[in-house]
Amino acid sequence: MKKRKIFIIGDSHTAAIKKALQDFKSTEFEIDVHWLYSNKNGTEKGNLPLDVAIEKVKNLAEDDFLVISILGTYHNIFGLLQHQLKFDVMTKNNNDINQCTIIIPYRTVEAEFDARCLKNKNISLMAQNTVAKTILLMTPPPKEDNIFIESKIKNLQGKLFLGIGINDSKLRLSLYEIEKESVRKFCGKNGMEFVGAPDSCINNRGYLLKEYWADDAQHANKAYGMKLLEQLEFLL
Amino acid sequence: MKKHPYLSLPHKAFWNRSVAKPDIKDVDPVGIFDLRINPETKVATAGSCFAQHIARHLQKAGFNYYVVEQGHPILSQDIREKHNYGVYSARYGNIYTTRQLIQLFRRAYGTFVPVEDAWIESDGSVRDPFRPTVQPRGYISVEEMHADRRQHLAAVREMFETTDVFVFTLGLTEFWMSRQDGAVFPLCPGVEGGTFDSDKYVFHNQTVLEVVEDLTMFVEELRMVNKNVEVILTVSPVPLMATAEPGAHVLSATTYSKSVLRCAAEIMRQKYLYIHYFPSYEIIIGTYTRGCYFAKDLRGVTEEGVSHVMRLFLKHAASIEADQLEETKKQEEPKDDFLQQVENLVQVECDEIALDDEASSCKC
Repeated sequence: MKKRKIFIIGDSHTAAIKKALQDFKSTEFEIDVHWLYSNKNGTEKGNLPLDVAIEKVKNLAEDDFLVISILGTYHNIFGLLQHQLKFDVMTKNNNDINQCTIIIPYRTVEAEFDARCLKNKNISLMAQNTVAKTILLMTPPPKEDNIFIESKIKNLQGKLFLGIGINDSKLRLSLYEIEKESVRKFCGKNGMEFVGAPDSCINNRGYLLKEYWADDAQHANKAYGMKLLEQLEFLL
Repeated sequence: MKKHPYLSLPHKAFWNRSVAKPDIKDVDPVGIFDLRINPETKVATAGSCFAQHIARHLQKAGFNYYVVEQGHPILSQDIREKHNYGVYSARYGNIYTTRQLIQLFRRAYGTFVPVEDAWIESDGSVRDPFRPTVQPRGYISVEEMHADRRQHLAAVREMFETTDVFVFTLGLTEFWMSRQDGAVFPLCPGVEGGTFDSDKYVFHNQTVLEVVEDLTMFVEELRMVNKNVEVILTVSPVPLMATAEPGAHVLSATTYSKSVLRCAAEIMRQKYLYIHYFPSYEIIIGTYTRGCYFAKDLRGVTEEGVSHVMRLFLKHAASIEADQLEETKKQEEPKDDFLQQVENLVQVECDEIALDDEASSCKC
């Protein structure tokens, strides 16, 4: 019997899935994963240009799946490093803020992240060109350990960065949660299904469990990729 | 030969010479206005919606429209504008009445703490009763509202203490206030947030004496924290959207309000050397315009009208004539390159992951 297809395309967070796929065997699905090609300021990343990706998604059938892993990274750009003007965001679960920081209202951050979702046109382009069901995959939650993260940032030589340090883990998690909701709303408005990070990879405080960390500040590892694939297989 | 005081009066004292005969664009109803500003002068604004035009044009003309509460620079300019940062010198929203103004001042310095604290809406969102529309979709908790209010009032204090010129646009005499402590709300509770309760709230329409009293208290308290500040009063030409004065027609109520405010402004100008009156009201509604400075709804002011106001303001306050006025590039805030720096860092991590990526694609 012909297997249904899962076509996964996204940014650097697809790397974990790609590694996992080397060992992951699905009886039901034929899984294909790609990093969408980009060229920013002369730096090339990814392997599949958008026009080729669109041709591939056009060939997906109605019972196939287009899984996009593109949105959900802005919380790191916004909140990984401390700005010179420290800020904090209150959430319903976190009222505990440093009085010496600027408070950015939750709904203002939310609006910023909502606007960010709308900026990416590649998702709509791909989704509009396929009859397959489109799923948006959320990025993994942040890592809790600031010392670990700081050690990874410092090792990246030749790249300057501003900021006094790494933002508090609670703030980073708050920003991740706000962005997650923005992505979820984006999916709802655009007829796409939202799939979050696997629950089994998250600790009871909401952070990515250590066994799923890649050796850097933001990404997850092959084991996480396996869990994602298992989750997708289960859900689809 | 006749002798009387009118013989020595300037042209501007005569209606025919200075209102009826000149072209619309040449009418200049400015009387005594001896305040001078330069591009470094910090000019803060507050008031009713017309005040937003003053702020916008000052900035466009390259003057120092003083904004203390700009919103965090990590937010995009678009979101900051939509969330009312930079609309006025601090994020207080429209201040329609003099009572609101003096209460804002006293709230900022802790000498007036209203009993009414937070409005909790049916969807759980929270509004600040004294800034009900400033935060789109409200705050997510009372604690968040308190935190934002604290930093807002700190910005208000900084603004009052450090501005060189404070421009206040007088808008209304009508307000709704708390029966309990007289706290005045910018909007009637129930209109945009809150719930109306006639046992809790009462309508009031100020008299000239009351407006003068409010302004007197305000300027004297302001000069105690900023001894050199100059104040410009101007009356908004925008008519009332609605009147709650019992039995009144909105047109008559508008005339009453604007008359009261105009009288009060003049009384204050005559009383204090550091208070100046600028005739935005007269420029827009003067009969010489035949109504052309109002939009179709007869409330909104056209861009031509606003331009006439600001052209005359800059002529008298900064000795800049219209032909010298080049629209300067909007003074872009120095671009905060923090986000770009972090994006570079994030991209470097993506490079590392890519290097570790062994297969260009993988199927199973």
